[in-house]
Amino acid sequence: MLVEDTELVYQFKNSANKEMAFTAIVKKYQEKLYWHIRRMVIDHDDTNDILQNMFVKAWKGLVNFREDSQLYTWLYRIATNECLSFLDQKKRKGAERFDDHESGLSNTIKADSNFDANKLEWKLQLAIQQLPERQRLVFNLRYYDEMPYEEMSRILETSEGALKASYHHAAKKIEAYILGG
Amino acid sequence: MKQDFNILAELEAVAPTLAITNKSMPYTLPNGYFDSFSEAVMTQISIDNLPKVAAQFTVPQDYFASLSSNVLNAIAKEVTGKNEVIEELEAIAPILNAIERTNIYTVPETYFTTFAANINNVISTSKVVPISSFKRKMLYVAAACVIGIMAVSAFIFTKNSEKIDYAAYKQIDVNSTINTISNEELLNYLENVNPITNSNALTTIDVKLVDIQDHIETIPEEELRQYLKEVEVPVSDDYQLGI
Repeated sequence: MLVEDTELVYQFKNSANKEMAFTAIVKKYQEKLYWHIRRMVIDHDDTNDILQNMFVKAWKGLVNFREDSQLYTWLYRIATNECLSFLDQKKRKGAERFDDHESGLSNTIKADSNFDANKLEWKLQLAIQQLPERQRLVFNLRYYDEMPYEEMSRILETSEGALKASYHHAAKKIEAYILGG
Repeated sequence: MKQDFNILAELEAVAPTLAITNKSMPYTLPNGYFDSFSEAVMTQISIDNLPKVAAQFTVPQDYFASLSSNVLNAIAKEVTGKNEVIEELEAIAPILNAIERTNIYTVPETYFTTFAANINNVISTSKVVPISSFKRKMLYVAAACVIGIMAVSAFIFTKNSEKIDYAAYKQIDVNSTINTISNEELLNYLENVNPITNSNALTTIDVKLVDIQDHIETIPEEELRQYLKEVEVPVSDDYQLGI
């Protein structure tokens, strides 16, 4: 049985055995957050580093976590920020080496042992990598996590209208990419 | 033993085949069944002995009456939410609805089962290490040095910036400026503006004035005459300086 987030946070803040409460939080959200990060950075090792960093940050910040926002939203926000700063860093390193960041991610996809250029699922992944980062985040949260715009707006700190417009643009671009071959 | 022998003899008499049959049990038991059996029985006993506490909890009125409809509403809401995403995509990019939304990337086996334990290890190794007292003292010394340098710099800077231009003051003709001020203005200034003239602060100060008479008596007469000559006061020879 899954324990409520508020109960887990309460146990973390007040119980002597805060490790146990934190382990329960990690177990509850690790897969969702893993896939949220993985879809952004593609590589498993990078995903693992980011996921670990974000949970370490969550451990340090959870004691000051105010329960006016949901734990789930808060964790997603940390994961998203970690992803964006990782991608920024990678982009800067890429600029030093005159690499194109987006083509780098596409190459990582193509290097996957299961990659099949004829399968729609893989084409979709390549199409998503053509989007700007923020648009990619919005698309992934809506398409894969089926997240309501209201919740998304709390994570990305953007208005619902802007998110809706961004998602629509992204979906159309992806469709055009897939249809274009 | 005697009894066992009797039973065996009896069996031999009644059914000799059974008497020579091996008595070992053909059934198998779970490993360690008897090791944990007593514990299992004791647990069961303690559960049975627990007071029936369910009746002590209270349930909101009509909770069970509305439970089924609440559950159905929650399910409908979830379904509607998912449909909303699909319907939205159907309107803008229908081809994306045809693609299966599975995670096509692979994850190392047992990654998720070991992740929580790994993160606990990472956290325990990244716990804050306290600064030693020596290092703490050195930090205070460094902070004090920085503050000192800043204070000295600020003093030097303000000293230079507030340099008084005495030459400019010398050029002011005070007398002619005062002459342009009316008597009324001066009186008004003395009464209201300069608080020192009206305050009784000076009168409260206990100042012991020098006794001028005593002081003059200590000066030789020749020296006094010389002084009066210098300030051009006419002095006759019979002028009694001693007053």
